[in-house]
Amino acid sequence: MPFNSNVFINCPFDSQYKRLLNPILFTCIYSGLTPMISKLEDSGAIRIKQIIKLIKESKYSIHDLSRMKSKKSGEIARFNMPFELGLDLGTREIGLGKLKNKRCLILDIERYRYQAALSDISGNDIASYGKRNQIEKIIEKIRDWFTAVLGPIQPSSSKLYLEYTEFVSDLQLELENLQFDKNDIKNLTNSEYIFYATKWVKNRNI
Amino acid sequence: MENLVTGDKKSKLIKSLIRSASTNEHKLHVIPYKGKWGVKFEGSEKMFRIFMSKVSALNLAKKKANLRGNTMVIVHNRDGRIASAATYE
Repeated sequence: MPFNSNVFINCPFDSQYKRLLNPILFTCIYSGLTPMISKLEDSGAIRIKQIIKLIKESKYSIHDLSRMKSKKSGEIARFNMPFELGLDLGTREIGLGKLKNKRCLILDIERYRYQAALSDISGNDIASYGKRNQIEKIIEKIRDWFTAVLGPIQPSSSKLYLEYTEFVSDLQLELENLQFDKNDIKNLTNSEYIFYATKWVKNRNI
Repeated sequence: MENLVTGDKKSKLIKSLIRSASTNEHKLHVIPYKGKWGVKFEGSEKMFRIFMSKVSALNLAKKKANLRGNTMVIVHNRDGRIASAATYE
């Protein structure tokens, strides 16, 4: 797979986050990139090795640190995301050749919240997508980052959002036509979602 | 989890999804947009009208669909899924 068009996605994989993961995947695909997700790989392999392999194969990466803080008392915060961000930043710093060209986007709900838990990366610019209209905001933040790392000519964030909503409806209606129920649709795997989004974007005619 | 999309279903789905990727002027979308609600014709890059409430947006979409005939109104949720879809003859 070509290094220059791969984007490593480091975010929660639970059902609650899927509403944000799907637009992240769609925005990457619409912009011509290939999302790389650890769960797509062989489940027999050691997870950390899969992750390092994906990081090495991807020029770009998107890290969402929003789960660093637990939501309620007694709930354990998730540290996989900051850990994988560390691996990614380390690969760029210590790696040789093309690895020096790696670029990453760090996302969180609040812009400066990470500094309390992860002060080593203070000074890094973090994009926040807030608590309202998150789908639109997350598309906008990724699109704005693409203007910096891929080139200034990118579709507007409004266009990306509207295209995303049309893809969502096309996919859901077609699945329902084939007697997929709500759970089947909700449980589409990430690899299925990436596959169908890629097909749809390739055949889009506007 | 086992892949839910297999065999015939998968190839049918790919074909119909590719077909539906072409824009269809007989579809109207009611979409959450910047904290408000917008009505958009499929394939258009901008909203036709923006309203403060979902009900107002839906009313306009239904009216437009009735005028055009054979038009589907698709209402989206804030979570990125479809809330409802209905065709107006």
